[in-house]
Amino acid sequence: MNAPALTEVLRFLTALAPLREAAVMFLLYLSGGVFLFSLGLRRLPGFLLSLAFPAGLSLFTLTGFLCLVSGLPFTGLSVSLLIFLALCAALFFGPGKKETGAVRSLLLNKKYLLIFLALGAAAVCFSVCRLLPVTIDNDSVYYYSVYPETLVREGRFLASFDTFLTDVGPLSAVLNCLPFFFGFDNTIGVQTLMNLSFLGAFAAFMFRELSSSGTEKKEARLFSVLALFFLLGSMPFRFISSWIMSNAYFMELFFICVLLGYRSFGVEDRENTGLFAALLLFLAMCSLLRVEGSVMTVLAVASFSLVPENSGRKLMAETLAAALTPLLFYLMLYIRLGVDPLYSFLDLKKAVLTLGLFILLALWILTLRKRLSESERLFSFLPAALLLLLIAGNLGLALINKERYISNLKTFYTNIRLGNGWGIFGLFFVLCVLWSLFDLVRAGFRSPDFFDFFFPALLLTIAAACWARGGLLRVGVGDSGNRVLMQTVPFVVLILVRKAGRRSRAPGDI
Amino acid sequence: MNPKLKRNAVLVCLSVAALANFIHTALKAPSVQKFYRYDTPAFYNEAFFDEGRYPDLFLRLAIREKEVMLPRESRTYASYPSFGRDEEDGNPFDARYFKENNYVRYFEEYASSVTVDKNLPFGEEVEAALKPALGRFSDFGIANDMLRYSFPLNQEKIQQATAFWYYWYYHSFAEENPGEPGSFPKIRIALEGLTEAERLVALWDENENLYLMAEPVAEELGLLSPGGDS
Repeated sequence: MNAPALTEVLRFLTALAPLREAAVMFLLYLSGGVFLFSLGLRRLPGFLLSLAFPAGLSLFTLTGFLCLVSGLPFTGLSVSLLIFLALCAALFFGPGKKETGAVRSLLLNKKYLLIFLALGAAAVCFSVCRLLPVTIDNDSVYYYSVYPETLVREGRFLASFDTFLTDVGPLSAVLNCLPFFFGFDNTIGVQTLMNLSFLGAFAAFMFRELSSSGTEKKEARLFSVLALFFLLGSMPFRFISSWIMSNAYFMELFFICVLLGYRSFGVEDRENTGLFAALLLFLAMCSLLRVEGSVMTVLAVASFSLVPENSGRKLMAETLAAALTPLLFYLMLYIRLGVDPLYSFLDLKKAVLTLGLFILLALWILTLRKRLSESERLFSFLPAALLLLLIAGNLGLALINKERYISNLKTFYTNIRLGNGWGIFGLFFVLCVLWSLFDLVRAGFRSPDFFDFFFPALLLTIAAACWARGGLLRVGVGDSGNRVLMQTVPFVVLILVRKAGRRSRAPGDI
Repeated sequence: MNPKLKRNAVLVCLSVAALANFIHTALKAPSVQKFYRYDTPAFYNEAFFDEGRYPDLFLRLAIREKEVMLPRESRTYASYPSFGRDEEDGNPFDARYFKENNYVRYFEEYASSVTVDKNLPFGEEVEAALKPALGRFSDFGIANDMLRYSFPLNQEKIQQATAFWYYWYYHSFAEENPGEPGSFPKIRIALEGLTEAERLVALWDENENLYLMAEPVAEELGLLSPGGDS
């Protein structure tokens, strides 16, 4: 017998994988599109196209997670059935039903439907072809391939999963179960399609931000294309998007959450419901995609609450969506499984603290925010108050363990300076921080632009989360703190291009 | 400043920044972190073979749809001499508990099914049995990370079943004792007939070096007794 070449063996063992992968990805894209369309997202084709796959992927992940925490069978069939039921409910009972039934609408807009299907199919084919190189490390293999395959084979969370339960974002683990349910070997194609969807969403949001702030549509298009090119060419985005890990999904979904949540898309617009449904779905995802995800979603919703136009009801719905997944997981982890490993990222104290933050957020929205919203003047200083609170919090952490806090800050600085995953983008990052702070001061800390307070708040939260992780960060592109900081790259590009777009208008232009 | 001029100046600045950014990334990114191009749908990349990395990515793929024959069933910690001696010895540890059982659990978890043939060589017998045919096996790399992360498969409620102990033994202990036999066990796989065979045979020696082969290869090497399983 002669030994075949390794490539031959690999191709033989994965002969049907591309077909299966393509079929699954396309079905997720369709499911997400149908879901959002049924909930009202119809007249914003750019958003529907770009959010369809993330929505479908989120539906799969959240449904799978619910099966695991509730004890329902965790199989490809059960998860698919539940998604199907959710889609039926959305189609027949969704808010869009009242005007033109969702199903009828779908079938009447044939041209729209064909474009949706054709673009989706093209993106899926591109993703499955593996044309773009990726980067892989130990976490990619053990956290996001071995652990998910074990989860599929066991069909439940087990106490023996030990630090996998506390160190790996549970929703990232469930998301990565896809190949092992449906007969392919990895999520490289899935991540590629997620990246493509995100780029579409980024361009759509960029265009929307610029045109709604008074930039002419033609100019807004030009700036959006430039912003996309800027993002694609930045080293942090290159690394995060092509690293087979949870960072890419978190970076992209969190950005979409913030852009969807920070201001209404138009009070009377029915599209609002579809986009709002997407926001709730993605908030629930972000909370548990990474261990620090919950703290980020608390920050996001807290920041949305500082925009006076956002209603208390919507904010409470957002808080509940973000809190639900960690609550269910912590209950399962600490009460059902009784897990408490030595040396883990997540422990009972941090879990309780996180839930405490959600409770405080809810209380803030229900009580104090309502009162303060009666005084426009007081309300206008709240963003500054949030920043002060975060600064105070960080100072508190520094007092508790000064060495760890300062070492982490130095490591952040060293990684940026040495270009570990940053390239020259570090300069733009610093420019963004300084420009945001400058505009914040120029506004007299009163009613600042959302991103002028959100971005510094995000950085302070990242610093706190990295401190709370325990241990010291290390110099190197793969350090988790460095990767979390690199996740801010879409915000940096958005903020800089937005500010440049405003600067390009004459004073007196809107 | 003329509004059109202002706008053009901003566009030029942005374009230059974006272009510089793009060029720098294109030139420098590959030197910061290795990127892999894929020619197959598998997660295991051919470059990993040259680098001796992630051999278990190939191993899991190879056994996923196959039945694997093993020389032993797994044993609980209670059958090892160090069991129950925590009070006496502090943190007793018997390396055989890991070396004899982790592969069993691994194949039980990730193969389509397993059967046990106690006539297959085990431990010290393996080297002698395979010595004439070592050239037929390809060295895929060391098994430390694979074994370190096999803790989820150990459902015994004891200290030695925790992630911490697996990390200590396969990572810290190995690095502190590199010369100790078994510190860096290897994964060796014979590719002949691997794809066509419905059954594979997995053997490991006392140092946890793993040998995986197709059943026909094992038969050729005289490893399988007539009559098959016991």
